[in-house]
This record gives sequence, C-alpha cells and structure tokens, in this order.
Amino acid sequence: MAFTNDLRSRSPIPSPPRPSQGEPVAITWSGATWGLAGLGLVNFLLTVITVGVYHFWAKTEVRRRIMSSVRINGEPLEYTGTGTELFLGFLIVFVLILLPILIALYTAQIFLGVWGALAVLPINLLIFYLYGVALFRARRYRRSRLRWRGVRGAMVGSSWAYGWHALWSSILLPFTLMFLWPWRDNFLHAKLMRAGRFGDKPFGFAGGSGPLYPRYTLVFLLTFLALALIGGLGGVIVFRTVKPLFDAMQQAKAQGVTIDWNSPEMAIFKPLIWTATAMGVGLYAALLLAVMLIWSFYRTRVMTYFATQTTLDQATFGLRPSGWGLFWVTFSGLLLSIFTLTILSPVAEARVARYLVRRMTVTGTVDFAGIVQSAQTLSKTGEGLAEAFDVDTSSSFILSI
Amino acid sequence: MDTATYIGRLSDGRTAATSAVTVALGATGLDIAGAAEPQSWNYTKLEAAAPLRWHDNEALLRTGQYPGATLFIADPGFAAAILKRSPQLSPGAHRWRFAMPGLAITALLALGIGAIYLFGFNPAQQLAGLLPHRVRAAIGEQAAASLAGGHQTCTAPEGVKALNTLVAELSAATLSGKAFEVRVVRWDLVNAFAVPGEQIVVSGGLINEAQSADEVAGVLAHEMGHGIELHPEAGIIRSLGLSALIELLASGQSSTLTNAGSLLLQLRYSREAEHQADVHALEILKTANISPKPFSGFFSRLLKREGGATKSVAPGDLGIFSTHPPTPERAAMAAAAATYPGRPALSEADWQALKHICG
Repeated sequence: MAFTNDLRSRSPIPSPPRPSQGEPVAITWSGATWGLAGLGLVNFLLTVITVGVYHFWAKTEVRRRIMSSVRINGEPLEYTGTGTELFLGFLIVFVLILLPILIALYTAQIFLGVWGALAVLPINLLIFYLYGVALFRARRYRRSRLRWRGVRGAMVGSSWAYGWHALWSSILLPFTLMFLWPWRDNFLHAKLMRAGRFGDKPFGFAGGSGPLYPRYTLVFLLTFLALALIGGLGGVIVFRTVKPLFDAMQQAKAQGVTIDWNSPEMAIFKPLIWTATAMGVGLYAALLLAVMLIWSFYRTRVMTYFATQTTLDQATFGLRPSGWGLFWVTFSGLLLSIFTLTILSPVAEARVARYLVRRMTVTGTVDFAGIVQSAQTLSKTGEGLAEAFDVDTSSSFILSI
Repeated sequence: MDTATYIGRLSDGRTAATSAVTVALGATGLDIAGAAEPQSWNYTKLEAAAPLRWHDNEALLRTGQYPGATLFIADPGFAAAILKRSPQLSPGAHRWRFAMPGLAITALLALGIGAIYLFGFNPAQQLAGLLPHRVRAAIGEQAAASLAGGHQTCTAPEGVKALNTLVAELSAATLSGKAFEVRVVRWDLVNAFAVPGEQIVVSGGLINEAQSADEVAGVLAHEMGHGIELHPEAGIIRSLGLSALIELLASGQSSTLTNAGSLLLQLRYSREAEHQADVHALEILKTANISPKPFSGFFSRLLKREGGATKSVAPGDLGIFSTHPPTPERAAMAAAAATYPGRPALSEADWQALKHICG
C-alpha cells in the first residue's frame, strides 16, 4: 500500500493530431506453470464426467490462466473467450461441414462401389483446404478475444483466400522435392502476420525466406542421414536375426518337415525374435526422436528469424536464440502430458509459453495512446473448424498472437 | 469501513493509453479518482477475465457499467480486500458461471439418450423408413457383395427354382407386400444374413446342415423378419449416427474407449432385433402353415456344436448367429409355437434340388 506521486497523467481520449509519444515495451512472464496442475486435474475429471463436452470450457480456462501470466509493461493480457463460443462453433461446423462430408463419403461408397474410392480424393482435397481456412479463423478468433488495456486484437482479410493460398502452395511442395518449404513457411506467415492488428494498428512483417535456406538444407540432409542410418541398422538386425530363422523355415519346408515351435531346436530363435522386436521398436522410437530433434532445429530458426522481422508501430520484436532449450521444453512437456494422461498438459503449455515469453525482446517504442480500439465486430462463435479438423492450436500458441 | 486506498491504472478501452488513478473501497463500489472524471464501479458488477485468488499480487478488473474500460491494480492487499466484497470474482464462482452451459448441455444430452433407451425410441428405424426403395436396394447390393466376399453365388437352375418357390411362398406369408430376394453363396459357414432392400444371403453351409426344407424356411422367415422391421437399414444409419455422435462428444478426438462403447450399443440393439425377428419368423411360418418344430430343432442341434460352424462374420450383420449364439430360450420359444401340424415347406423333389443348389 504505497502512495506515489505520478506525474505522467495523460488524458484517455486522444485528440488528433498529436505528436507521437512512444513508450518502450517490456514483455515479461509472471505466473505459475506447475501451479496449473490443480486446474489440469479439475479439467480432466470434468471432461471425463461429461464425456468430453467440458473440453471446450477446460481449454478456455487454461488459455485464460496462461494469457494473464503474460505481462506487457507489467499489465497482463486478458483472454475473454468463452467455452460456449468454442462449443457453438464446433457444433455449427459439425452440422454444416462434417456431417455432409461423412454422408457424401458414405453415399459415394454405396452408389459407386469401387469407384466410390475415387470420390475420396476430392473430398480429401476439400478437407485439406478447410484446414487452412480453419487455421486462419482460429487465429482470428483468438486475436479478437485477446485484450490489453481493454484494446482488442483483430485480423483482417478472408479466411477462404488464406485457405486457398495454403492449399496451392502445399500442392507445389512435392513438385519441388520439398525445397519450397521455407518459402511456403514465410509466404503463409507473412499473410497471417500482416493481417494481424492490435487495435487499429497493423503488425508489420518484412521477412524473406532466403535466411531460412541454409538451416533448412542442413536439416533436410540430416533427415536423410537419419533415415539411412536407422534404416541401415534395421536392415542389419533383420539380416542377423530374422534371416537365419527364415532360412531354417525354408529348409524345413523343402524337407517336408513341420516346425514344432516348442522344440529345443526352435528355442534358440525365441530370444532372437524378442531382441529383434525390441530393437525394432527402439529404432522406430529413435527415428521419431531424431526427426523431431532435427526439425526443431529448423523450427527454432524460423521462429527467431520471423520474430526479428515483426514490427508494431516503431518497435521490433525478437526472440533470443535457444539452442536445445526450446526443443527440450517442448519435448519434456509432451512427455509430461502423455505420461499423466493429459492431466498435466496445462503445465506443459504454460512452460512453453513462459520459455518463449522470457526470451522475447522488444526494441523501439510503441505509442499506446495512438492505438485505437478495433472497430471489428466480434463473431459469436469460435474455432469450430479448427476443433473439427484437429488443427494444432496449442503448442506455439503463445506465438500465434 | 476499510479506508485503504490503492494505486491503479485505468484504461477507457478506446485507446491503449492509461492514466494513473487512486482507488478507494467505498460502501457500494470502488471509488476511482484521478481520471478525466471520477468513476464508481459497483462491487456486484465487477468482472474479470481471469479469476482472482486471495494471494494474488495484482488484479485486473472490468465492469459492465463502462464497457471496454479496464482497471489494473498492482497491490498485494487488494485482491483479498476485493474478494470479500465481490465474491463473483473467485475461481469457484468463475468456473461455475462459465462451465454451467457445458454441464447443462451434457445433462440435456444424457437426458435425451436416456429417453431414447427408456422409452424405446428408435430414431434410426424412423429414418430408415424414409429412405426410398431404390436407395435401400443399392445399399443392400453393396452390403451383400462385401459380405459374400469372393464367394460365388450358387446357380444350379433346379435349385434356384426350388429356392424361388419357397421364397415367394414365404414373402406372401409376411403379409407385408414386400418381395424378398434370396441368394445362396458357396460358403462353408452355417449362417444367413439380411441386408438392406429386402435381400437375403444364405451360406451353402447352412443348406448342407439343414435336414429339411422346413428348417430352411424357418431361417428365411427369421431373416425376412429383419427385413420387414428394416433392421439392416437401421443398423447402418445407427452406426453412422453413433460414430457421428461420438465424434461430436469427443470433439473430434476418437479413442478406443469411445469405439468400444459404440460397439456395445450396437450389440444391445442387435439382441432386441433378433427377438423381433424371431417373433416375425413364427408368425410367417404360421401364416404359411409350416411347422416351427424343425426350426427349433435346428437351433438345438447347433447349440450342441462347438464353435467352428457358428462363427460370426462381423458384429451387427444380423446373421442368425451373429453377435450371439443360439440360446436355449430361442429354441424353446420356437418349440412352444409348434401348436399345429403344418405341411412340408417344399416337396421332396424340390428339397433335393435345393440341397444341390451349389452343385
């Protein structure tokens, strides 16, 4: 309970024209991560009791807690979305889109028989298109529900157009042997970023994909190396363990002898088969882990580079490079979530958010008084498409502001 | 009265600027001074995006009285003080208010599903009745083809003629105006399946196993019972609908748990369906003046067998022995209906022809 003499009083109603009064911006984290365990447990129990219906409210409450831990100049962000909005959004999409697609697929199979399988292709294309649309709409919903000092975020532009860009750019990928990937990342991110608003102020994004290519090429080659190595190891294992068994079986067949799997002769093969299976599973897990590691190498480069190309008013953002830090916090969060049957997934999300927020930097100034409230009308329903198509909306959620 | 005052920052929500204000805990609300004009925020109208806890060091408040305005107070004592006056800001009250719609929706859904169970509503069957015959026949063709797999239809002309005689008789005896189509496929298992569109598939194994035409008549009558009640169509709509409903509830994340549940629900419907088909079978046999005693004998014989021949094909396929083997109750019910002598379903010559339908 302190009393200070604050001389920086300012009229809340701006009168144009006025000289720009920029302020420095500091983004900090002030909140719990492991403290969300209790919330995770309550969410889990309620979701189970309501056979999944509560999921929308659970998600909303986690978002509220995490966003209010993010401080800009000491004042927290507010997330004002509700679970009802998410639920209604999903319901609408279910009835208008999912159900017709299900019926269309089924009817195609019934009436066209074998040819019905061909109907699956255009429907999959449609779903892929809707995926892009869903991403844009989910971002738009979340930005419109985020406020700071009462001013809302927003997103302008058409989700249908974005979906189309996401689709055609991904169709081109295999034709360029996947080398279009960084260009596509940059292309789509630019669209999403430049559509973003804080109040009436647009975000700027100056990025190009050139700086991403060195890291991408490295990652691309490493992936091949990993596949080759692990595939090679797998081959050696098969050769060493399964082949003798296979030969023995062929021999027995040639001699017209049936194999008694319980006989002492066959007993030597059992430990071999067990080891082979164990090593097979282990190799697969190792391959997954290796690919995740390698690609996080690329993704951190993308994130840090994109951050430095993002501007708002006179300020430029940045993200301090993290090495393995980001991969570790994401991966450990994933393990945490899996091993606790998602009870601790709010904790995992909060840890990633905290990590990113602590490494965020802002240089330059923003004239807050010059940012006027967004005039966009709020949609009443949110993220229906994203929910329906399982668009990944959480892990780098904090960066999708 | 608490005479404490706190330092806060007030934004009007029209721009992202703030002004420093002093906040006092008045009798009915927060008295805010230092902005363009003094404001009083009523305790009962206070809102917050994130709930306030006793130990919070800061508070971010809004009010319905001044839409868009936010008040930020970075003072440890404030949270405790305001929670006493505005309990609606606490986590419990918050969760209750926001979760209420969700819990209400779940309760409604549970009630709806409960009603369907308790009152025996059968929405799938109603929907099935709305489908035109052409659609049902097309579905049935596909279903029959996929059921039969690669097994060939048996086409010995004498056998087919005998089969059609029997089928025509029984179709007439259903008094439903529907004409059924039956085919026999070269297949070892002992089973028969009703598919949509008044079509039935019988396995050659069942024809072999049967000792008289009366037994086959019983089986066919049973499958016709399924067809009359539109069980095959309803079954397909139900499985489509259940998977859609479960997808809705699990909000797009299906799991083995929900799949198992859907399977169980379908099994439950199958038992009802089998009973209805049995009742129809006995009625049809009576109208056609064929004794149900051989039919009952058929059940009893197969009861004595071990596994093997009564292997089911897929759950919900409405074969006689699909998801549940013949029970003594079903055999007993058929035996009890044998109150009349009846006449042979087919002549001896026709029966022999049918026996050799698959060569």
